[in-house]
Amino acid sequence: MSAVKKSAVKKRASASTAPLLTVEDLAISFRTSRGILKVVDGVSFDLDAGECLAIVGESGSGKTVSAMAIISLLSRKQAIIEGSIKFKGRELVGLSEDELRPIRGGGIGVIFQEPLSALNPVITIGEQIAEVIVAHRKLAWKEAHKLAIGYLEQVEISQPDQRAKQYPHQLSGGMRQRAMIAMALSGEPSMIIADEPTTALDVTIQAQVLDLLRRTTTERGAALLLITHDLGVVAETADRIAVMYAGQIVETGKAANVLREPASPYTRDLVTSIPSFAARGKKLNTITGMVPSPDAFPNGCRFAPRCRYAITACTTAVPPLEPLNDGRLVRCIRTKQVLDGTATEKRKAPVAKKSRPTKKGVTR
Amino acid sequence: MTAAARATKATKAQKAESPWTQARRRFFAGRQGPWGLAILGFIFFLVVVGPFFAPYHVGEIPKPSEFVFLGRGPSAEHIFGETAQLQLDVFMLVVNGGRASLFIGFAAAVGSITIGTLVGIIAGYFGGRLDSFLMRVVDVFLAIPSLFVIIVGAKILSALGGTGLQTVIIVFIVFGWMGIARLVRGQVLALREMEFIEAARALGVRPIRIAVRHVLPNAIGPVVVSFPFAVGGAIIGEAFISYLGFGVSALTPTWGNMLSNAEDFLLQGNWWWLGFPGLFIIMTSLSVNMIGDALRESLEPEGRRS
Amino acid sequence: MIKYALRRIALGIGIMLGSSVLIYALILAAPGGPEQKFAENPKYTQAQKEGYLQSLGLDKPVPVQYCRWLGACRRDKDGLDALVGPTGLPTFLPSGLSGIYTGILHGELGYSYANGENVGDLIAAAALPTLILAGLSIVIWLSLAVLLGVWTGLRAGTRFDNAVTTVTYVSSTFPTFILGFMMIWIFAVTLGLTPVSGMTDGRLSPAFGSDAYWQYLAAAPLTAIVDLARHLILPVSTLVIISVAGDSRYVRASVIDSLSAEHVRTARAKGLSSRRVIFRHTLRTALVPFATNLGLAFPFLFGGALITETIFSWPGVGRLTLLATNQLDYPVLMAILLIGSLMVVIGNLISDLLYAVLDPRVRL
Repeated sequence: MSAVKKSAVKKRASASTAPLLTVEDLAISFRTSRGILKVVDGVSFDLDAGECLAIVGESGSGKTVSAMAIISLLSRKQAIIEGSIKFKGRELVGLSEDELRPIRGGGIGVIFQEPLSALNPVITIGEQIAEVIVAHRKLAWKEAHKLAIGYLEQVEISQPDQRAKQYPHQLSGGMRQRAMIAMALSGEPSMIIADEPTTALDVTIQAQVLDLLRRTTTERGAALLLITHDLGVVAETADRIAVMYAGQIVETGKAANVLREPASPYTRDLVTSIPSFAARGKKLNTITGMVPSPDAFPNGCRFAPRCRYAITACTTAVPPLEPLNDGRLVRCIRTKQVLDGTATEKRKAPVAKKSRPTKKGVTR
Repeated sequence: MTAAARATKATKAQKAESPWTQARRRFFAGRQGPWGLAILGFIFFLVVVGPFFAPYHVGEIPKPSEFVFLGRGPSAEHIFGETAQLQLDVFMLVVNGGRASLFIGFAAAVGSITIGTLVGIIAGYFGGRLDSFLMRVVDVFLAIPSLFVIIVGAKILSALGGTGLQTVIIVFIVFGWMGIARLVRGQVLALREMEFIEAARALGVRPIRIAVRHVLPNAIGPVVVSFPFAVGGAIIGEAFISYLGFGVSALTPTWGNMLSNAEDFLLQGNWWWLGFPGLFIIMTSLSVNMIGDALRESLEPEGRRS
Repeated sequence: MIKYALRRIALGIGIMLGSSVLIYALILAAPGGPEQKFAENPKYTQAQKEGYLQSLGLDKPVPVQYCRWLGACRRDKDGLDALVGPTGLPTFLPSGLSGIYTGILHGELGYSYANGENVGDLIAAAALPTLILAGLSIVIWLSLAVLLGVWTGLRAGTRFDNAVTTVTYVSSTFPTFILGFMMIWIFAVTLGLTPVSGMTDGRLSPAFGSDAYWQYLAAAPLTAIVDLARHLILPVSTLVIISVAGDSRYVRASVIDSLSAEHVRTARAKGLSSRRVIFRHTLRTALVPFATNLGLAFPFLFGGALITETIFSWPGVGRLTLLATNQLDYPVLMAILLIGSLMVVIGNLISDLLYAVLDPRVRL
């Protein structure tokens, strides 16, 4: 980590109490039939108590893998984890299953994307919540069941005592996700990881569930690590954002700053590609090309092949994360010019791209 | 190579191969499939070519150079040995019997799979009352214990005057189509709901074309996988009912009736008359299972994505 | 749940009816029957032949004959009158209600063409040996299959697992009767450890099932049981070896699937003890499909051991079927096929109900 960055981290750290979670230079590789692939490379971020950090990226960016690595939910045989993950000052990388167990659920709770498959279909909702209580808070089953009903109430599920006796398939999608939230809360964790919690839900329910999630974590002073690809979700809920691309973090900072005035070209393209009602009638913005797969990461900046502002210098070395004035960190050597508006664009702006089928038959 | 060029190359390399090509690649990449094919191929080869190398043909009864009631064991002259009593060459019987057994196996498999696929497609595609009716028929056929009914059916057919080979094949087909029918129907039902079928319909593609060009290629997966198992099952089934005496009569050798004839002499020491056809049955069964399993894995890969 | 059960039972009855029609049709197509005895004999006049056929009811149309055979039509009346019994209630009801005692539905299975005995008695006498052989085998192989399957499934990929899997693969492709021959050859003939075939040693005891046998059993229980056990070893081992291979692979696959299921990942993420994760979450869902195997074991108790019985000359239902087939003893054959179907239908019912009990998603 560069000296500049270290001081930026230290500045934030000394501003308040030490962060709840510190991830430093996290690198995750997988053993595959094609060799060892490094999927996540040098990811670092902090999470303070009570705040919500959103990790944003397309599928394949490595965001889910990074989050799952925190409590070591990846396959031990296939995944190699390097770097440091400190939770409440304690190093998590390298801990055994037995050592991790009290932290999972009790210190860090998890909410998964698709509750229908994440919940056990043959066990009642009530029991699935109660077993967390029994495992971490050492209460008797009867007590735990009563408390479970209480948690169902907290997540605003009606008739919680009846719902507790039902099975996951008997609940609607929104209720299932609420039940998952209740399950995550029941261990009274200091931090919750939410992996795409609303992607599988209807838009109208999404807002409710997000709101619930944010409220319940704030009430408890718990931190929320939100993994998503949906910038709309981020805008609503997150205090800070970390943008990931091809296994690296390309920009972090306060949500408002990053979204209003993105400093890295990738974030820019992401933000402008959101369909907006105001721009109706115009062609949709897209980012040309595809996310590179881990066995074919380019040399230098990984976004350079698709970047509008790329110059030759971009392809020679991976740009380091550099701080900006407002405390953000950006991985781009041309940030200043991009923000000023003086950056020369190598390609035309995506807006004007025509969508005529090319001879190769591929339409973009 | 510049970064941009490498990225473009990576994009091109990800262009999909057709599912059949992928499956074929997977099939030959493993060990089961190729070995199974090799063993089965060897057996085929022996069965096709062997009779030309046998000392004499089926039906000829030679005068042995030495009269031994139990038959002589494997030797240079008779590589699989001789039978008891008539002292026939076991190799000749095995390779000729193999022709009959393999023929029965394949014919029965083709027949039952054809019927089963037809029923399954009709039931799955048209749905409604026709589907319910056909599935009830399947249930009824399935309810009757197959071994029992095959034996009874074979006996009845042969009493009515069928030849051994035909009888066995017919019985296997009549009582063997149900499993495939259910499988295919399940596939068709699932496919019907898939969006690419809806899309085809929405685009105005005619139902026949949808059935043939879109549904059939995707529904064929389980059919292809079932085929080798059906062959194996029929060969073993034939062996068994011929052993019981209900299958092919001893005038046409099959592996099954060889077992039946040889059984009595096993205890007296002649192990090769029973052993070699038995060995071939085992090898056929094994190879056919290996092929079937390899096919299943290559058509429906169960790899866990990390 | 009750509705589900009732619907399955109704379906089962329908299937039984259908299969009884199929069986009847099959036998109808078969050559040889009472009229054949008289067909070629010139001593009987045409009138006598017709009189005989009439007495057997063979001059009536086929559906009527079927109906009478079934017991849903009275023998002494014609037309619609035949459908109502002396008590005034429909004939297909049990004997106590309808007053009818003829036909399959009322327990009249007919008399054997070969030796004139009551078919029911013949089958009952054969069913006991089959029950002993098949029952013992099922209990042993099901337990072994579950143990082996779970053990290898939890340790998938280890050398132990690979070794076991290869062995079970090969033995699952073995045709039963060839394995039987091999067992006889190795253990009975070459090593002389066990008897070659049969159920009892003719020199020691009377034939199994006869009255003399029961007296013998009462008089010298230990000798009788040891004798029985010695005769059971080979056939039971053959059955167990073949069946354990297939079933344990099935359980193993189920366990492996279950282990990678999302809800197991959730259970781990909740920090539950590994015992709870394995037993309450993984195995509980893994063994649900195996419940269907339990249901299918039921018909096996009647007819599944046919191959083994033939090779080991076991005096059970299988052997009875072979004898009856050779002699074209239709009453016996029809009864065996019918009872066999009944067992299959009941077995399916059991597995459907078990499945519904174990998997709440099925109870519609």
